Amino acid sequence: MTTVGIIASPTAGKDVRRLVGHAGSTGDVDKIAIIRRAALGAIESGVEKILFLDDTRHLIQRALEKISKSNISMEPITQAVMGTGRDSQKAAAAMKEAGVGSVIVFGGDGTNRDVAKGWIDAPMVPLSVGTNNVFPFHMESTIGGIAAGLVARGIVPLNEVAERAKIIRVDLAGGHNDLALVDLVLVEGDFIGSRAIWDVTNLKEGIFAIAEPTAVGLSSIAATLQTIGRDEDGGVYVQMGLGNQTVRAPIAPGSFETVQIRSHRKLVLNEPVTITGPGVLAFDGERDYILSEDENAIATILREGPWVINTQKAMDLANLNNYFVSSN
Amino acid sequence: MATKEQTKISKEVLFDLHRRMVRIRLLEEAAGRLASEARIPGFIHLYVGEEAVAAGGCVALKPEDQITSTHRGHGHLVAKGGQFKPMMAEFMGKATGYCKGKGGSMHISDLDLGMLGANGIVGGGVPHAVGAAFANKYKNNGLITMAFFGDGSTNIGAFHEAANMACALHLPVVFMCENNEYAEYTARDRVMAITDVADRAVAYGMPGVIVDGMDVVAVYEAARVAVERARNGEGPSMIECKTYRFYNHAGVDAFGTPYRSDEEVREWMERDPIKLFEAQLAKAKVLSEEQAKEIHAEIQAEVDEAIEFAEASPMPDPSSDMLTDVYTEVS
Amino acid sequence: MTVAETEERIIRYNNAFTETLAELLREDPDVFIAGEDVGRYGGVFQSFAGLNAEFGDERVVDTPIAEQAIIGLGIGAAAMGLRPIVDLMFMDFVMVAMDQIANQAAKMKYMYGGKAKLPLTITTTAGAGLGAAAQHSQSLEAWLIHVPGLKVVYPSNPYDVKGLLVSCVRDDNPTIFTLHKKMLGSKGHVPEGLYEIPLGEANVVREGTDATVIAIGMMVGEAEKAAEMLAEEGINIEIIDPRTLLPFDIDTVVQSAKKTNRIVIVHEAVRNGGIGAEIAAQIQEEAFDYLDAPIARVAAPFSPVPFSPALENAYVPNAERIAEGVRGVLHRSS
Repeated sequence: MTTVGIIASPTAGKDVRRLVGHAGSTGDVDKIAIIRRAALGAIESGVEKILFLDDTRHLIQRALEKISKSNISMEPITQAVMGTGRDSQKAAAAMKEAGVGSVIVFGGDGTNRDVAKGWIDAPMVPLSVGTNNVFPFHMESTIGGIAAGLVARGIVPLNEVAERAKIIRVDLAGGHNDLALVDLVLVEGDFIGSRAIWDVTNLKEGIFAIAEPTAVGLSSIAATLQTIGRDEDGGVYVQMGLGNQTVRAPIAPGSFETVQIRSHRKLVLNEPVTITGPGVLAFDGERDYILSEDENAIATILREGPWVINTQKAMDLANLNNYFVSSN
Repeated sequence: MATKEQTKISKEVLFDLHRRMVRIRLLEEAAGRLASEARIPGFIHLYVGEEAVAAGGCVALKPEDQITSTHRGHGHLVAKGGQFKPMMAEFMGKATGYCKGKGGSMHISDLDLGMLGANGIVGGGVPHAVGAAFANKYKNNGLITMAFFGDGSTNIGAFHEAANMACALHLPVVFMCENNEYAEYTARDRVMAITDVADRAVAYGMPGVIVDGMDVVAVYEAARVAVERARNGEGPSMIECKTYRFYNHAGVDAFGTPYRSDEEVREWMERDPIKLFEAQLAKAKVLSEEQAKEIHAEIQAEVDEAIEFAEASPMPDPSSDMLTDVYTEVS
Repeated sequence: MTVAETEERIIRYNNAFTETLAELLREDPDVFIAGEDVGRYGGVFQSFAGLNAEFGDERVVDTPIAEQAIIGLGIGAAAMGLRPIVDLMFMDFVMVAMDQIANQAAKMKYMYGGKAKLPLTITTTAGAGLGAAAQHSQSLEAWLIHVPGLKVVYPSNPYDVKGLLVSCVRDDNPTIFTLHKKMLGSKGHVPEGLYEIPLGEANVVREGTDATVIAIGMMVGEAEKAAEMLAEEGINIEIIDPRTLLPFDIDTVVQSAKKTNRIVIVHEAVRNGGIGAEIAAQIQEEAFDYLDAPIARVAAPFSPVPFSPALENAYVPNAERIAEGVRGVLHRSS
């Protein structure tokens, strides 16, 4: 049974960045409509089943309620939900287990990171639901849904329309490891707090797998110094703090800041960088791990991340084969 | 724009956050005990579990800023600087209480501290925050008002009216929602079609954000930004703190009720905001476990002293006190 | 016309209100006004005309249609030391705001141990007679006098409008100041400058010997007309206008009762549970032995205020019905 998975972050578009910057707000009513449009796109492509994470807000459940059809099965993953990133991670792993053909992910960089942690080579269409993010696409979800369906059904081959994303693998004390999809930044402080970062004077150093000048967020700092596209191999390492350079960068939607730069250099794939505490490690812009004094984290950029479906390519290929055209 | 020195929080502030939370907890546990022994009359609505919200919110304020409160107001008064003796005396209905025994637990307040009153009417205090903020703007005194309210109150008309008016008049208000998932004894999802109160903020014309209400640093960080926004004339904002009431709506029972599961209560209790913060403080080498214990002991002694004071205090006199303070006499 | 009369400054009831507000705003920077349509438009009855232009948006504030928040705005601002005048366009809307009025404003001082001082004035318009029907015509003073902590006033003439409004705004308690819609255009003598009529002091409008008519609001004028009619019959009535309904000047009323021994109470609200019941109860407590007849009440029938002029005219008490009430208490033997 060809299956598309749907995972949505219930908290995306609602964190403190609406207060510290000028990020937009996306309420549940909007999110449900966005998810429903993607599901309709996937159904249009002819998938037989939608497997989904029934999140704490029942966003997907509510999105699917109004479009239930007899010829398509819609099934929630049976798992306890906690309302944390772990939900998306567990759901992604379950989807891999169930043989899902592609996953539509609704959320920001953080949600995509959770999915990648659960299913490292997931074929996915990452869709933004409002907040400015680097990793997901800002596009109409109807088309994202079709593209995901076309891949799940094998109408367009995955390896022709998708590339594996880069990840920053982070090896921590005690044999633990973690990953980021865009950037890993060490900031001063002792607390995870509200997760977001808006005081650039606290930035110490960072590793950037994506540094595109069209993106907003911490990665925009690196992008002013050295551009690295998502399809380019390698990355950038930046040391912040008093040096002989400053850059102006949009570190949050609408918020330009002056950042002191001590040094920066290009990184190649598989090149380990050691980051030493104390401080808090921010994964894709969110404080998440307290690094004690003298504790090391080793970060390496690898091209071992999810298969990110290029929706433009997928649609072009389907059209080339006249997939949506019938003769009378 | 948002406040600087964001992730670096001074030790003074960290100690302050901790102390205010512990003060609330120990007073509340004592009050609960006394209520169950019938040494405190009437209803009692305990703030245990939600300490991070009042502490994180109030530490972000100046002492002269004002707050409005709810029927679960002990925590707000303690966080705003309320003293144990007159609080405990008020709980017991004594003449030495903050309200001379006329308000009790549900109306505990000290206007001199800028705490404009706990309120027995759900949502009733929110419009007062709008009025106080109006006065701040009118006097151009640089002060702001923080309205504490629960998820349940966002379903009542007064809340909607107040939120709309605050935004329409562009007043320096911070709307601080304590979403503890229950409106009295009814689960939020039985009475609201949305999950996040923050979703409502946009409809009034202000930003609304969600923070972990069990993490006092997260609450404090967000509150500081919202407070600064209000002080800079950028208008109201809403912070929804996801939190939990360890005990029932009223009284000191936590388990064995039909409206929420024991398992859920235990899960939330594992996220006890004080234990969570003390672990963070220990890891950051700001406060050791021993030091934390000393602080608890010191505050407990103050609570015990307050109980003694309250129990030794006289009751108000029906013959002389019943009719005073109904009106402000013409001077 | 005598010299004294020509020297009198005759203005309308509504203008007395507006003029007083302007003078209060000029006198005290802590005074501000907030309410529905009170700003740019000047109020639905133009009672606030020109104030926004003179004092600006900061001091004469247009609010949303949100009666709870309007009163709440006044409470919060009063608690912070301002002297708000907040307007409820129609007295019927008191019910919409009742929590903020009765549970909040009225109780705040008491339940917070005396620390709250609330110099809050709520202005509103009551009364039938304009074809405004059931939800824009009521006189709800009885609902308010039941609440400890409030003061309620109801001026019956332009002179009292000014004197009572000044006292309300300068009072440190929540006061409710009620205009009668049908009297807005009525005229009377109003001196320039601010003066106070103490709250809680009744006005003996007309001295008499045969019966006492206690009338409030627009009913005072009707009672005066009734007095003229009755005078032709040789009946000489005393008329008392309480002016303030809470606190109520029972002493003046009892004094009069002891003199005339017969009482008629007139109000525009329905009889059942009306303020007349309270006044009657207090009189019999204080002066039972002086009464020569049961206390009579002239009030509206027990129905909502009707719309049709035919019904509304019959609904609101008038001079004829007051006179009838007086005859009723007089025709009983002592």
